[in-house]
Amino acid sequence: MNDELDPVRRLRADVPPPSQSARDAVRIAVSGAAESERAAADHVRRSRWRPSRFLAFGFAGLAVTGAAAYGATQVIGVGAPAPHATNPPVLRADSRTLLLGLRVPDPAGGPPWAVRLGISGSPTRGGSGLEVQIGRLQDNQLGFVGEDNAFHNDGLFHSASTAAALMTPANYSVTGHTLRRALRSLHRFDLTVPAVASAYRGCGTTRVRVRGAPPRQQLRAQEQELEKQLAFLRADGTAARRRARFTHTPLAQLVASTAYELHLTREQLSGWYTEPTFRPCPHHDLRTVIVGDTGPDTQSVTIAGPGLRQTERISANDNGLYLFITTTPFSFRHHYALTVTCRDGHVLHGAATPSAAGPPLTPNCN
Amino acid sequence: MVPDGHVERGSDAAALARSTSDVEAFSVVVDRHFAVVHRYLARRVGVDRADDLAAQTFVIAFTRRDTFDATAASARPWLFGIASNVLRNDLRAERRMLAAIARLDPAAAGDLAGEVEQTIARADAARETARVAALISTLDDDQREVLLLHAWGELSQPEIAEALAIPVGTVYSRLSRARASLRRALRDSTYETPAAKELNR
Repeated sequence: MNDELDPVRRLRADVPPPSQSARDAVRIAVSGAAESERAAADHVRRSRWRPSRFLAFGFAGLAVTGAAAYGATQVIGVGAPAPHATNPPVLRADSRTLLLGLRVPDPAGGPPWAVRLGISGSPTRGGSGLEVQIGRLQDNQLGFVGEDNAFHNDGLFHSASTAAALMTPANYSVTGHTLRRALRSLHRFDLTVPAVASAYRGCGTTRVRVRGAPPRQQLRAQEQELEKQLAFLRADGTAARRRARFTHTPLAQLVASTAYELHLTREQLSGWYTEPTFRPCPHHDLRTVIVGDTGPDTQSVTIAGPGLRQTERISANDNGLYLFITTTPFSFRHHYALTVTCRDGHVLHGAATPSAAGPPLTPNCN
Repeated sequence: MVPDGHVERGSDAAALARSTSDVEAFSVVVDRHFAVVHRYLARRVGVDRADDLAAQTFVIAFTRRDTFDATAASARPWLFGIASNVLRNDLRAERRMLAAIARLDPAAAGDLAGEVEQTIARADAARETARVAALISTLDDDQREVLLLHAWGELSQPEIAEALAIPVGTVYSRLSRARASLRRALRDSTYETPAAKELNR
């Protein structure tokens, strides 16, 4: 055919065919999605007794408790600060923190929600780690309200330092050579088990003695192996990045899941194990937390799905992070849409099908 | 493995239906369409990004396989529709790439000494490439999407309509406007796209 489209057809007609690694990557990615689909189905089956806590939408969401019952005023009573973690899950001692300007009201009132970033390591020396800590804010301190596995349902505000194990409902560990890159990898987050387990273990959590644990010798060996794995992944070297690429899993997620396995192993070694009492949480006390990054030039973000439509304005000093707090439970079966308006007027759309291995579809203004 | 481009009627739908109980069945769809989808994405945003975006496209297809219209002859328009959605998040990357092509120095394409005619031909080709890239970059998003699905994705107008979930008449009109712009740009050597005007300012 000889027409005006010929020059278009010739344009970039010499792109090489996909490499074998690209073909392998898609197979691995699809396998991962299938695996996650199975896991999600299992999760739904196992957790039918409690509301959905998880969302994978290119970002992560989870429900936290103890929020709604204390909501009449902005300032509530203050309880003891959270104790330091015996096994600090992520944040290193050399971390610096940055409290973002986002203030998101809770549907039932009370202290607003806020985001604090913990940044550790040097961008020029092997990359840096970033922890996104989400919690309630009172007197410029981040913490949580009410029920958790340390303070139970006391209705008080508990501030939490970066060393507190239970400081937030979500701790996301990501690595990157710059803060910007680390933030951008946020929207690659799907469901992160450590994020839930390290800070929130369901309602009425108690610590119980470990029963039926593997022999201590085996646990010791497992602990050592996981420590090695974690060091290997945290080094963020070529081999670690290659592993992440071939498993189509963000390196930070591999770090987080390995850290969680290590945490569980150490818990078993200690002879105690923290687990939920399987008492359903009151629905009105549940919150779904949706967090993600759409780039520093974001003006506003709108999320829409079944029973949910919220718009949030993002200020310039929020580093492009958005945060929605809602009582609407998320479902793996529903479709959610994210509409992002950039400061230059561009409107970007991200469609999403929540699934544990859902691909990042968060639009980015950058 | 089924060669790229070979589509048996209904076989994609059958494979997708089977994949709800047998994940391996989805590999039929991957084998059949991965190369064309990847090639399309690579032309739009470059090979490196295409690897990621193609993987995303097929993961989305997998997670949404129950929404595929089982009466469709081929999954290709559906996959291109997903790829187009995925691409929307990378429109700026595409614009940057097209702008880079548009800034190509025609003289650089002919820097081999001797062979004057070949050098001139290469320079002409580079000039045309730059002009076409500049023009594509200045089309509005809807026109560019339709034009490139047609020219690079090799989809017919009805298939584009299926991919983008828009009426086929809309596809015809967008394609017609895009072609008219192209015709004018290629016929009139002094024609300057807005992007070119911006560069020359």
